[in-house]
Amino acid sequence: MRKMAGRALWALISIAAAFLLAGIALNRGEPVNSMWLVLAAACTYLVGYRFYARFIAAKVMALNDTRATPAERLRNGHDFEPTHKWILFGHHFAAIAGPGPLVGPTLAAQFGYLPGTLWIILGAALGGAVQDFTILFCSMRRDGKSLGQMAREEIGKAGGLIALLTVLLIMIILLAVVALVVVNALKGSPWGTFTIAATMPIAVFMGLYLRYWRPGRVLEISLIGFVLVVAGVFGGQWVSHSPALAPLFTMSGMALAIAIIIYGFCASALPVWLLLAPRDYLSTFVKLGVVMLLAVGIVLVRPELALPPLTRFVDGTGPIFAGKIFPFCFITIACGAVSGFHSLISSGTTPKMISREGHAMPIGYGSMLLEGFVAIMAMIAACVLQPGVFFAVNSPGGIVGATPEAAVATITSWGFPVTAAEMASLAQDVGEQTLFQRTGGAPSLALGMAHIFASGPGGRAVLGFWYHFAIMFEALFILTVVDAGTRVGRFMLQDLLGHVWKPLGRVSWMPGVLLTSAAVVGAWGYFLIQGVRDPLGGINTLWPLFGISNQLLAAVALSVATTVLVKMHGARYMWITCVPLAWLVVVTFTASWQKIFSPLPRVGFLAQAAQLQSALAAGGMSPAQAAETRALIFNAQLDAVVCGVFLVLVAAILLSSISLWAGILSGRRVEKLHEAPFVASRMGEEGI
Amino acid sequence: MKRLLRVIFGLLKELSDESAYRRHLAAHNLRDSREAWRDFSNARFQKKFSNPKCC
Repeated sequence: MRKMAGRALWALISIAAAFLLAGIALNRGEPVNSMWLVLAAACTYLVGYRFYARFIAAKVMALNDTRATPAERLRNGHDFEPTHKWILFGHHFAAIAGPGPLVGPTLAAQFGYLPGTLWIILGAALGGAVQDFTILFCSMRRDGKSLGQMAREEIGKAGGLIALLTVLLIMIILLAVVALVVVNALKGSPWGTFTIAATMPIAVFMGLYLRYWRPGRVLEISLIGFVLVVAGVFGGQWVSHSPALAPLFTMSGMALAIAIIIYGFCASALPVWLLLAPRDYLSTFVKLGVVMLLAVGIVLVRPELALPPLTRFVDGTGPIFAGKIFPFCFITIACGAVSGFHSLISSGTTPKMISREGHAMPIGYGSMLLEGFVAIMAMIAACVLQPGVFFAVNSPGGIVGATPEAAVATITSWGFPVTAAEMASLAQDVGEQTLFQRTGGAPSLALGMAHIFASGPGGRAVLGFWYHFAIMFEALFILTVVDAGTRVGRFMLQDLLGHVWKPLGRVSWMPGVLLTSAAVVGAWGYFLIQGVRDPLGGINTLWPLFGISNQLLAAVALSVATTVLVKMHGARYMWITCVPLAWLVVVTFTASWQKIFSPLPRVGFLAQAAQLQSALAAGGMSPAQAAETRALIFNAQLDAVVCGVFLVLVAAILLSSISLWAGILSGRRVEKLHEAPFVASRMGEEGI
Repeated sequence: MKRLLRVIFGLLKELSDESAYRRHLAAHNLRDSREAWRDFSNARFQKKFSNPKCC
């Protein structure tokens, strides 16, 4: 009887998922409530978790709770430590949740809410979660080895080197693009700039408190830090109204870029306890808190979506980024559905802390589904804005016109009416001088979040506070990605250069630390400044480049996972990772090809360089304009080369993998699995 | 409800490294002190910030 009731319930959830997805996909004209998206995602993810993840866990991986995990066998109280399932779930989720699933869906809303929503729901369940789960399983069965180590062991020596180089290159692009998101959110905004600037001394205070006054009381100081940061948000409003202070914190894009570059260098070279670690604690708690607050806000307010399901920009003429819905919707969503970077977390700390093999399913698969939810919430927050406002905020001046009048005329002509007075009133409500040309996704996401939060107590009067609170939240954890990423990039570079000259590899040798920090900061800083100078806003160039590189890393991870599945079961279950891999290869290779060779200057880097070259050759430019144009030509050519390098690296690892699979499946090669031998677990639940 | 709160508090302690610090003290038979935290956090942060942060 209970079994029957269970089956009936799951049948009902499955039917509800299909009905809700069809309802979202087929609806035209009627306004759609955001709860449709939330429920469609919830039902689909529940079905995916209950049936697909369980099938993979039982039939493919044969997860075995009597087998001791690395956390039990290699327990050392530091890295290897059996941890409670839900605590590790939260830990893993906090590690994988970055700015990508917030910014990507916001940008992809340019196509309307439908394509991005469908990809987030289906891509996360069939691709992203499968990748995270399989890599976590592979690492867990290999003593917690990293993706690079597994690539080297399972595919070959070249695999490990390619994985390392790909990660380093992706990090440089990632750091540049997320820093650009912060620059675009803060330029000309004394309120926002003051709030973010205030987080620096607050972090230093937290660091000193932890080191000298109350060692180890991290929760206590994080709470104090949070109160101070909220005070900083209020202080920012006061500063923005102060005739003496406001000009000090009203900074241009270039000035902000330089400030962030200096910050990145300091964070990389200073002792980690002073700035980086306290910011990381604060950012983690704020991130989790705001995500939960947004979820509660959406469920309570149940806002209607103002953006249409599909916009005219599916044809590739969008103002936010150029390119057709295929492949650029998938490249832009990136981390909200499939994230290559997650494979580094799934083969990092988490496999060393799992107490039972069975926990890999909720932690690996379940956490990615939760990340998909975050992406859905970001999509909702972006789509509750009036389309005219959404495009006015996110479109660069080079596309819609530099003045408010020109911008609203262009956007209105697309069928998304908006007026300059409406934009001015909204800017005044949120305490900004202007909301035009704030490309990058962060400001429109903050506006959407503020719109939802301000539906509660306080109403429109607190719109400014919520807007700047959301900006603070986004900038705080984006800058945490920047500072930690710069430091990790420095370690990677030191590791590589240590082979050339030993002292450069020593992390305690200050000249080496300063030199490699400068090199890493210089690399991403170059791309950041390129983005700031770009007349099309920079995001048009850098976000697709980041999306491509991230998805290519996912292709590397899925190649490793497929190799392991082929070694375990032959061809029987390889479709589980091969289908998402094939999709990612088609999407990323098409996108890369178009970004390099498309004849349209807004899409193809080489066409853009050729167009600028023609303009330069035609003459009539001042020496300064000519120098700027030459720099833009070089940048476009450099971007084409970077994109090409990504393609070649991943094609190499893919070809090695395919050759290995063909050898194994035809019986020409006998390859062994590199799993750690079975050891029976001696641990009961009470041992965790 | 009690169990949920315990998990939430456990998660906060894990995210803040406070649980790891307690384990460190117990494993090395140490008392909570400035030096103990310094040794623990130096090793912890070095490891933590050698891994890339997710995007």
